[in-house]
Amino acid sequence: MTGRPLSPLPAIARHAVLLVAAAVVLMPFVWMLVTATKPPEEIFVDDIRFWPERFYLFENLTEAFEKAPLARYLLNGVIVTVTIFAIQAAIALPASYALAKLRFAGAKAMFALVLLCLLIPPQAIAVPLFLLFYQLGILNSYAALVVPFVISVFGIFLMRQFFLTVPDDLIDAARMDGLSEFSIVWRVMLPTAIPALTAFGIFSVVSHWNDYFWPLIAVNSEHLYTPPLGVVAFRNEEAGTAYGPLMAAATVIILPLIAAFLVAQRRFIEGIALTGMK
Amino acid sequence: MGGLRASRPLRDTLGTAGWTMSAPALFLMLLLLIGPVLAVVAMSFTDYQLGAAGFAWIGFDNYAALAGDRVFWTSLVNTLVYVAIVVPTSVALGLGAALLIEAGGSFRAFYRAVFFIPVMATLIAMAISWEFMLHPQFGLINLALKSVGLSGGNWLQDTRYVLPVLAGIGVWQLFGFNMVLFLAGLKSIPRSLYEAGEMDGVASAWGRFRLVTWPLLGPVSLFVTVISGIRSFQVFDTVHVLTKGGPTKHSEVLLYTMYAEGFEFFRSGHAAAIAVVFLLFVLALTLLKTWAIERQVHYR
Amino acid sequence: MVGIRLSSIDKRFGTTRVLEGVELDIGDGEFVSLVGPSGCGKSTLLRIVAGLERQDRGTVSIGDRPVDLLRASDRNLAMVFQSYALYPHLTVAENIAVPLRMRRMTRWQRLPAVGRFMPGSRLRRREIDEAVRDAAEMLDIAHLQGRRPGQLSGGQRQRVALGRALVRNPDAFLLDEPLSNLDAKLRVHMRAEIAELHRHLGRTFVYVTHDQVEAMTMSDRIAVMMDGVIVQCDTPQRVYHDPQDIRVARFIGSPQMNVLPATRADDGTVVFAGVSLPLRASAKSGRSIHVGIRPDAFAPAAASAALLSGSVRHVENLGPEVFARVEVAGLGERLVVRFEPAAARALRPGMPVDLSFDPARAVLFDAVGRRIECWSGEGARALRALGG
Repeated sequence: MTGRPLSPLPAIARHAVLLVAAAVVLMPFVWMLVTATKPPEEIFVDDIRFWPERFYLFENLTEAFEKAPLARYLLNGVIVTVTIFAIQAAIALPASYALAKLRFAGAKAMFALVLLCLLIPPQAIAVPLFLLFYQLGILNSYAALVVPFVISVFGIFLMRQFFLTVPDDLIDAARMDGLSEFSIVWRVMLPTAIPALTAFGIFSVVSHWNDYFWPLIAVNSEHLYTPPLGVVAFRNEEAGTAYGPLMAAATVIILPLIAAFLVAQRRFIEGIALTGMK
Repeated sequence: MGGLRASRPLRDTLGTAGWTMSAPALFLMLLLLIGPVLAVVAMSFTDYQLGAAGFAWIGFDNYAALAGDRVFWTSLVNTLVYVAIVVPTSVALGLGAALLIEAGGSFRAFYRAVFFIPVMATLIAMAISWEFMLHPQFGLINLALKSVGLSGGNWLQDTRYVLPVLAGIGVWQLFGFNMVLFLAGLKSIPRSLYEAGEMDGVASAWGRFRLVTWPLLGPVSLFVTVISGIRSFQVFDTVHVLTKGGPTKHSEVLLYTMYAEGFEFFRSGHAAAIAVVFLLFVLALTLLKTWAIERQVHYR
Repeated sequence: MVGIRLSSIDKRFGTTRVLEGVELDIGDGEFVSLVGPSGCGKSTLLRIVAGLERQDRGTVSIGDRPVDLLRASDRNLAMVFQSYALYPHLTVAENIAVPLRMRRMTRWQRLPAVGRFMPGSRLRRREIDEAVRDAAEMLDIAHLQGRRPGQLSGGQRQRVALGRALVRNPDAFLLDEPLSNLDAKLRVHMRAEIAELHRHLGRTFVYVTHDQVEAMTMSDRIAVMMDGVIVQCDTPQRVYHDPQDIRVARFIGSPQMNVLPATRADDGTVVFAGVSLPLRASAKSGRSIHVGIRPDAFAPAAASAALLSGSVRHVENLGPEVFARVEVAGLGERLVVRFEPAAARALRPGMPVDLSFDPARAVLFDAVGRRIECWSGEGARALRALGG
């Protein structure tokens, strides 16, 4: 922490501890992947065998994709997260701009409302939302998966904090140039807000791709299952038998986010740290 | 655009624009957030069941029923025990990992990424991997224990182990997030403070930690603790997928109970009461978090 | 006696050479400033003395003892940081007490809560409290002892940093641009206070600053650093009047010294823009030389006795003195000339002006900036009168 490079002995100790911890942390992933490469007879064995005798990954993957509509689940994941974020952004950006830069009666009250809504955990309101959707007849549809989340108070809060730092001069210049307030949001504020928007997007996509609670409640048709639901459905059907394909399916489910994370690590971690600090 | 517009003053135009731009958000907040909260509170005072024709206002009967329901109390206690295990462990591990990573210069990005991956990976999918690893006969953990001569238990079916094991998975999934927050906190400590400490006679790593690191991490630590509390209170996924609250309710947690009441038995009024209890706990923790942020701001 | 000696200090960061062969001998109780433009290595040198950086080559000795193997915490030096580096969670009194607690109390006595019950702890704590109070009173911050740094002004924080340094009675004080975060008025005030503190304590002070006025007003000696080398180390008077390098001449003094590009005639006379000046340089100076004349060395002259002529381009009236920028043939930059307020009343932009200067005040540098000897001469003046 003083920035001085460590002398050899502490440096080795540090690596030793961190490497052991890393091994423990990665074990579930590694084991999942390894199991996905094994044929059935090698999975239920009495001792630890790391490497497969027969490399069975492709067979497991094929079986996984045959037994369950994995591609469909992934597609649903993409459809749901992208739609949610797109609508969230479309609603949050103008609202947070208005709250940050436009003085209108009730702005303070509305922001107080935003802060209040930040306190609400999503699971607490699941029951009334479910009943509402039941009455509206939209349960078990994409709408059911998307609608509850189109309002992201966290996104409004984040973008507002960011917009507050944009100099007023920039906006006044745009007004002098004849832009309407609406255009200002999309033409002036949005380009400057890319970092904050990225953090918002990462937070939204990650939490909705991984969401289990609400999709479990909202849909029960297989063709609508999001990735978490899909992999659980697969497990329930194949209870205890097709472990190889199950692990292969699980690997496929987590791969998109992990790959994205490894590629854009810094953005992810900055984004998550930002969201944590809200 | 020619000449001056003799139209409404700018303030008015901006004011209207402000309203039109925030109206959709306002409407949705009321419809999807505030409304449901009010609804769930109201519902907790009814005996509504899904599909029923009508309902009656029954006052605090739902809450009285909860107070007398052993399952509810077991559920609440389990949840609190779970939180009591997960929070200190994940905070300590997060801090430890952050300190170790910051202490040296090499491979920081690597370790940071490795410890953070569980936070990102779909918990459900990883829970299934954990389930296999915890398999009493063919699971990696028991096989490993066997290889050193120890016998492993039936982790998810044994009433003594199930909650701690689930807590362990919770810690595994959470501490990377805490680590990232601590890393940000460590980075914001000015190096000159450590140098001043050096000049003042602080020579050991422990001395540096006590004089500079820990006090300056105070607000962050508080924040991390509360966030971990909120997140661990919301435990559901692992329970629903791995144990369904069993064996014999030893892993029954608050959200699972609410889910069962509301979406398996469709006793909406009753579920609403549980939801309100849940809400109150999380609200208390969230307000604590807000207070922690305020302290952070005033600290410097 | 605790002086500080630096021998042959080399330091590089990566491929950049930051310090090269630095030699410096600081006497016990002396106030030495390290001054120079940003990036000249002065802060790095200070940190090497402190022990916060390790030099690549060379030795640091404190009181004739080489301290290179000692950590910063063992060198018995105190440092005041540019950002003050006060512990934000501790009160003023606690901040000042830290160095004493670290050194005089054992780790058992320092434990929170239980520490006070350890044997000997009460006596120690009382001693420390007294020392802290004394330091606070000396710096006039006794009334702030219960506050936290976040509640103090810049000047007050500075004093707390000073208090933390002097409470230990160290062998020497190292100050790293301690005034640069203060506003101008406060800086002037604190300059005097620090100088007085030095006189009162009689300890060695090593002071880093980029502000040559601070260095000039506070130091016993100034070490002017450029590009990792100490170019000249002398008293303020000598550095000002007798610079050994053109860079020192340009850096010290405000406004900057005027530097005229000139040539040396065969007989040694210095010629500028075709005019022979009453200066002679020795043969080994080479042909092309620089003449340095400070703005206050000029005086208005009659046309016949004028050495330089030009026209006034801009007048800056500071009150007690007036500076005129004069365009002179043969000189790329404007000449800066100081005038008394009385003489200045007649100055107008555009008007012609005739100047002479005191040849004894002129300094000559060779083509690479080294100082060369110069004679002011009857001989030279006689030559002029003959029209040569």
